[in-house]
Amino acid sequence: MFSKKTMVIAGLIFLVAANGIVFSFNYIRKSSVYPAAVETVLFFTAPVMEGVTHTTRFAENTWHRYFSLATAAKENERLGRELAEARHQLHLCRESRLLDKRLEGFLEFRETTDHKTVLASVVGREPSAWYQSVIINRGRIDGIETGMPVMVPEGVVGQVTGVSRSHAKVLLIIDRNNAVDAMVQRTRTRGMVKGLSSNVCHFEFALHKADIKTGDTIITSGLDGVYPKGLPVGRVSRIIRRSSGIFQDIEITPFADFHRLEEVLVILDPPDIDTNLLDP
Amino acid sequence: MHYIVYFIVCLLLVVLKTTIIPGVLGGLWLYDLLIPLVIYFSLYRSLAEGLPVVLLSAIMMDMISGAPAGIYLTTYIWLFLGFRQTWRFLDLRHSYLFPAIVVAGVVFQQLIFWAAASTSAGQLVFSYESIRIVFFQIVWAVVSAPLLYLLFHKLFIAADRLFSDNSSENGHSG
Repeated sequence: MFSKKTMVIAGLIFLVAANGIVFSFNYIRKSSVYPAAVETVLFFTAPVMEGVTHTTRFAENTWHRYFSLATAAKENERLGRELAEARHQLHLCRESRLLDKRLEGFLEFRETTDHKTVLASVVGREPSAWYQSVIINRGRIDGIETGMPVMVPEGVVGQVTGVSRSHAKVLLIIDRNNAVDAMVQRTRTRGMVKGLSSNVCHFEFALHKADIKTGDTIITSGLDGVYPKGLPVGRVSRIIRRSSGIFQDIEITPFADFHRLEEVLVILDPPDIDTNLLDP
Repeated sequence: MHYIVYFIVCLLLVVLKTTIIPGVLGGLWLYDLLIPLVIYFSLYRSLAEGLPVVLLSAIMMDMISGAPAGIYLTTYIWLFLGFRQTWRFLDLRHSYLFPAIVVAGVVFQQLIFWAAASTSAGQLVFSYESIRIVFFQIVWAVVSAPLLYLLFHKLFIAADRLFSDNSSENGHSG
């Protein structure tokens, strides 16, 4: 319909016209009408845009937070588990360290003694408040027999009064039915340590004139045929010298902490055991 | 089958008293937990059921304890037979009386132990510590006896039902 030449001319005219229109708009932008028009348009459109933007952002944030929260909850649960596990491991480490410390003491004692010993754990305690005994997890198969002395590195604990195949009953030195032939380390004054079924013991049969002071260490004499000589028993905590009587009234505090007994050593080759001397 | 349940309950109470409670509560003086069991059997169960349980409990405790042999046997037998005779003319078989009876049992046991300790010491053993122990034991008895009563009652009745159902079923099938 149109020749090629006509089409080129029309195109050029269109471009020039368009360019003129654009230039005229730019001119308008500089005029006073343009800002008013912009203001009017923005007045109506911007709040809507703002509202939509806020809503969109709120929705985006909510969605994001929901997922973050869900992720955080899972993370929290995982961290909680890890914390509990870490606490458990820490507890085990602490227990292990304490056990190591205790066993170190036992090992040191075993290295310094010539006696054959076996380590045992305390698994049960005396059911009555009037008597003092414990049950340990070593018995006849470990070489334990009635009458054998039991101790901790700090001092004497008691003696075995009953044995089964794998367990044994130990009567503590603080029991009123137990007695240990002992002496004052400093002056070699002999006496008998007797339990009171409390945390202290009596050192009996020490003559009134004997030189004994508060703080003196009491050790086993080895003469009762149960405990080897020289084992620490306790420290003199109180002395009452009555005007009458030939003996002093001496109270001693045992070195062994009977409330915290967890492991003990049983001496398997005590000096000489006469089982007939034991209480039935 | 009932005796297996009784034996398990005895064993659990002994383990609770000698291992679990000293480990958890340390120095708190809890009374002998087998006393409520002995009293329960004395008041609510037949002689044929109660006597073996009491003997078994007593022997078990005597073997575990460092106390003079036979002291638990003496205590439990006296408690068992004593309350068994008493409820025939005094109506003791009320659940609300159970704590008071357990307290009486605890005091009786403490008297027996005190007498034994005094005999072995050759003089009357007396200390404020022992008074404190008895006081704590009585408080514990008042608090825990109703719970133990409920436990024994529910457990043994459930055991009765279970084993009587089984025996009747076996009877029908036979």
